[in-house]
Amino acid sequence: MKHKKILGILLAIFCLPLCGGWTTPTNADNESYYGGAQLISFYSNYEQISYSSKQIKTDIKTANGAPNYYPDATLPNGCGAAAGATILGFYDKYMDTIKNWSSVLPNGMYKKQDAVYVAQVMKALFDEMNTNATQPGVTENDFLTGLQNYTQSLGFSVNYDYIGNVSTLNYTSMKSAFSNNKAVVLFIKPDNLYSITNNSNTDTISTNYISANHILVAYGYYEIQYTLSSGTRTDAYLYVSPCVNLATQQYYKVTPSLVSAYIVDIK
Amino acid sequence: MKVQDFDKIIRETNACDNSTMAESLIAKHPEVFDNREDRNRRKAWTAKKRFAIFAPPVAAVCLASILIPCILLTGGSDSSNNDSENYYCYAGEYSISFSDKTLKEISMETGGGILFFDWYDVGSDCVTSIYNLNDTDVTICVNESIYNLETDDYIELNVSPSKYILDIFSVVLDSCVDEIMIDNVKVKYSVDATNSYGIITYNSYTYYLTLMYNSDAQRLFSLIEELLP
Repeated sequence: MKHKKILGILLAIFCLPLCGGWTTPTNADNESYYGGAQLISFYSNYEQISYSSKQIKTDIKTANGAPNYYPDATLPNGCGAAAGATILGFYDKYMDTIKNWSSVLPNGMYKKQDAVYVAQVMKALFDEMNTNATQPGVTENDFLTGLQNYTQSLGFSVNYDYIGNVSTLNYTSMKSAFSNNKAVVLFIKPDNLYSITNNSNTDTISTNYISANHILVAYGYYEIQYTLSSGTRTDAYLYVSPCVNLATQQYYKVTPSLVSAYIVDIK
Repeated sequence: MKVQDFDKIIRETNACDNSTMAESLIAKHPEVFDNREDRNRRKAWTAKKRFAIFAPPVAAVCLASILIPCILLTGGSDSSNNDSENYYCYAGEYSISFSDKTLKEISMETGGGILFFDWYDVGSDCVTSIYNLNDTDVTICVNESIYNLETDDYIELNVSPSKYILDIFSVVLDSCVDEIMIDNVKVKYSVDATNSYGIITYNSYTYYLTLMYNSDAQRLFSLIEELLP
């Protein structure tokens, strides 16, 4: 009897990945994520860093970055659908995760969303994730389950690897994921996104504030050190697809706003 | 909290911010915007009749987007509002729709005064979107992205009548602090790790050009020279 019990436990452990199971934190259903374009504040304050020199300490990205798709007004609070579609668009470069469409240009770089195929995927994910069913947007489990169900319907499998929150984030695993061409989904509370533009010996860091719980897709890690007149300064960011319509390259700083992060691997 | 409550909150939150943002942006970039008056008060316009064109199905695929012609995308004067005002538009005030017309076609329909990259015969993946104000259907921006198969350039061009200041461009405006003259037109520009950005004002339109996946400002300058007549 004891052996049967142990055997059952072992079977459950080994079968769990085959069933698409994943580990989620206990609060995975506590928060809902509903970010959208109307919940972004564009601050007129920005920071200019004048430096004598700067050094990029770390710059790890997926092979060609990632696309950035955003929901239109027909998908209110649709950041879950947009993030899911962005992930599918990311993997569409390597497998047919967006049917009848290619997410990349002839040169292999990601292109902007179209009016038909990405729109169809976002609508399907919006429904699959039960967006706005019981509360605005989606919970973590809504997102993960919805994306899994949709991906499986395409004939692919998706594996999620939970890599922590702001206190427990496994940077080694995350950077390895980027190096191995895997996307990371971030669930965040209201926080800033940053643009970093370069002018003559000055970097301008502009801030956009997302005033809602939101979902981002990260695809790289960037660390830069400036030599200033007052000493040195080091900033670390994640390259992100913001899943809203923004005009410049966006970055996210890991702060207490980070609720959960998962490596998303589609095969 | 209901979905529609968010919009109400944003309107109330941004009611004060719009004034600050508009004044700040205009003060910092007077050459970009036609109007130098520090006024951003919205003016009630005469409502224009809205035409919704539903495109016929193409093969087995039905276009999901509502195709709305550009109404009032005029950089110069129009009869329905006071040209002396600038308008700061935040995301809750406008909607984005895909267009079945190219920027070239829109330019031709509005008198030919809008610049565009005529890459349609050598390009691919052309996507055109229009930004319309929710309450008036007035078009405040046209966005077109297109890839040039011959030169490997992938650009995104946003064009707005200069009196409109869209929130999404405020970051670009703040970051484009370097300047260069090209064909007697002032170009404000910057680069980041991925893209190059340039802003010009020509014939009462403001153009925001993004050269994607290329941080070479010289290439950006060449494209702006190509864009200008």
